[in-house]
Amino acid sequence: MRKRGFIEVRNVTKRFGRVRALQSVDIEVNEGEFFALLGPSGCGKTTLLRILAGFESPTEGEVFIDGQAMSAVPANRRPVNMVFQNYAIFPHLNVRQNIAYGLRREKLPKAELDAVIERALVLIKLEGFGERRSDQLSGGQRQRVALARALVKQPKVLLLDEPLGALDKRLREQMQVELRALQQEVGVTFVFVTHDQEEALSMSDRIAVLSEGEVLQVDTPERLYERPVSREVADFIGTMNFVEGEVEEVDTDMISVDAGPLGKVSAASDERARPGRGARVLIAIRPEKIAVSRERPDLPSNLVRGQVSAASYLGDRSHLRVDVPGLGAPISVASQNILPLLHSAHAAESDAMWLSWPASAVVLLPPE
Amino acid sequence: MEQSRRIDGLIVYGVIYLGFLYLPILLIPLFSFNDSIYIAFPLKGFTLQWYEAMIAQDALVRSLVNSLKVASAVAVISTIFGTLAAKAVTGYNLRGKAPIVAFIMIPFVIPGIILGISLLVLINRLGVTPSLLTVGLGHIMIAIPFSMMVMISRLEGLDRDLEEASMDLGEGVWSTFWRVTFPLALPGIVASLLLTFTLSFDEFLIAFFLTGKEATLPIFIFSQLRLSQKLPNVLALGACILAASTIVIAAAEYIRRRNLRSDRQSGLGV
Repeated sequence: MRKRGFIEVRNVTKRFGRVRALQSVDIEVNEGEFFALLGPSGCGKTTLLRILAGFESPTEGEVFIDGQAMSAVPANRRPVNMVFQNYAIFPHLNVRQNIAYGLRREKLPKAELDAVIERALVLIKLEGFGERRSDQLSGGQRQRVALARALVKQPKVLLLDEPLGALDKRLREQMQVELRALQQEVGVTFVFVTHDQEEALSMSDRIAVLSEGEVLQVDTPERLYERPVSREVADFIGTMNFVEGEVEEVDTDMISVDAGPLGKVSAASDERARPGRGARVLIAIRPEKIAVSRERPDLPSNLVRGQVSAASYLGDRSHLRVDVPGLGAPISVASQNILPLLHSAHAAESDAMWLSWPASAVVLLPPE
Repeated sequence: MEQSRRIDGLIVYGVIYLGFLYLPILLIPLFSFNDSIYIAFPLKGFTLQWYEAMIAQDALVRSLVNSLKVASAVAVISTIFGTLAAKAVTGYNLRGKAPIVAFIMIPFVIPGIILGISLLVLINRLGVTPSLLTVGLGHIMIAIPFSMMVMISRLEGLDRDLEEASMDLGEGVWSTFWRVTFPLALPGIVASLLLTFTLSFDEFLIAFFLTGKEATLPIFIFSQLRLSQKLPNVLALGACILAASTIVIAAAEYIRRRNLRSDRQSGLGV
């Protein structure tokens, strides 16, 4: 049975002198979850990871792992292991000795120890590399050794600090898939830190978005992208169009907003707190949810006419910037090039086009 | 033409320079085999009698043993303190790090004669009799800054993550030191041992003030200079020390280069 709240970060604040690295952070991670801490550099995500590892202690608050309070437990006695950003492979030991490093205290018989190491080498696909030293390994191989070295300790939680940051792009994409597969194979709870939104979206079960020491939102990748709770989250993950408006009408399943130059915008109302009549809101629409057409679509709302001010062709899709009279910023549109190129539906610069979007694509955020 | 003339000039300069450095030193082994108590050309003939006399001279052998004892103790103790101090300075966010380093480095710049006099005054005040122990303590004082300098430069190249990785894998502070820090710092420790040993072995000024009945080798040699018939013994001793230090330096350099190579491969830096 998978436990909920396997890791509990309760009201954790961390100050370094006068600098506040974390501010009242509350996060719960479930057992067996692949959990990402996402944020720009300096947002406190690495500090939080180091608090989980036991290298830093919180100024206030407490961390529980599997129900046990961690503040009195030093790093070397915690049921967690870490993969460091630069992997921290011991340069004076070979791969085998690196993997065996943490097992010395278990005092396993030689044959058993060898078997554990052999299994670890198979797991990370480095059979036959046992005698190599770290200077004879590539970046990806070092990372796998760091993983094996941590996993043979059978930790309850594996912490990964920007695990793919030091790899080149192609290797990174390959390792994303491998890391995810490995996590599902061993079933250990993974908490990883990254500043790369795509990496977080593609690998994680859930993501905590941090900014300036505060948690902005904890959610699944889909919800984080489709239903961000604030402009900051929406801005950090992907691109988003923002238009201010005022709520006109609230129905059971539909909210109508007067969006000025954008006309009347209908939004599907979700379970979150619904704004009342007359409230100021920020309308947010993802560029790829907007359809482009020359003919006026037959819709009562959620459409506007504008002029294409910039069009860039990217092969599988095109990015358009569309000026709508009366709107401060152009609207970004990403349209999939499903039809063959040069089809009349394709928009070129200075073309006048209709933009439309479904009510389900509209996110209403609190105003600035 | 121009090119080759310039190289010739450089070669001449190089030869003169090396001669200036080493000819005086080479006179020592040369005259130690000379069959005359007068140190003067022309050479009289080959003999090993000074070496025999040297070995037979009890006071000389005793002072050599004294110096070896003091220098070994100084090397080990000052390297331990130097390493720990360097660890504290490089490893942690120590408050007031710069003044602490400067403070420890002070004996480095105080003239030996001043240090010798002040230490003599101090031990007289304390009622301690000058002995090899006081010489050793004086040497430790000047050797620690040297050891610390060597160890700081070694430990600064060490990745702090490696120690954290060790703790993360279940090791405590001491076992992390022995399993990670110590092996990686070993080339520095060897260098520090050699340096502080040499420093103590040929130190004269402080030993001159702090020595008691038992002399160290430099003090003994100095006392022999007044007796001209003992001088060839000293030359024989000098030749032996020269040979020994050449071997030690060659070995140390060999070890250093080997480590340098493996460090570069592992990206540890120099």
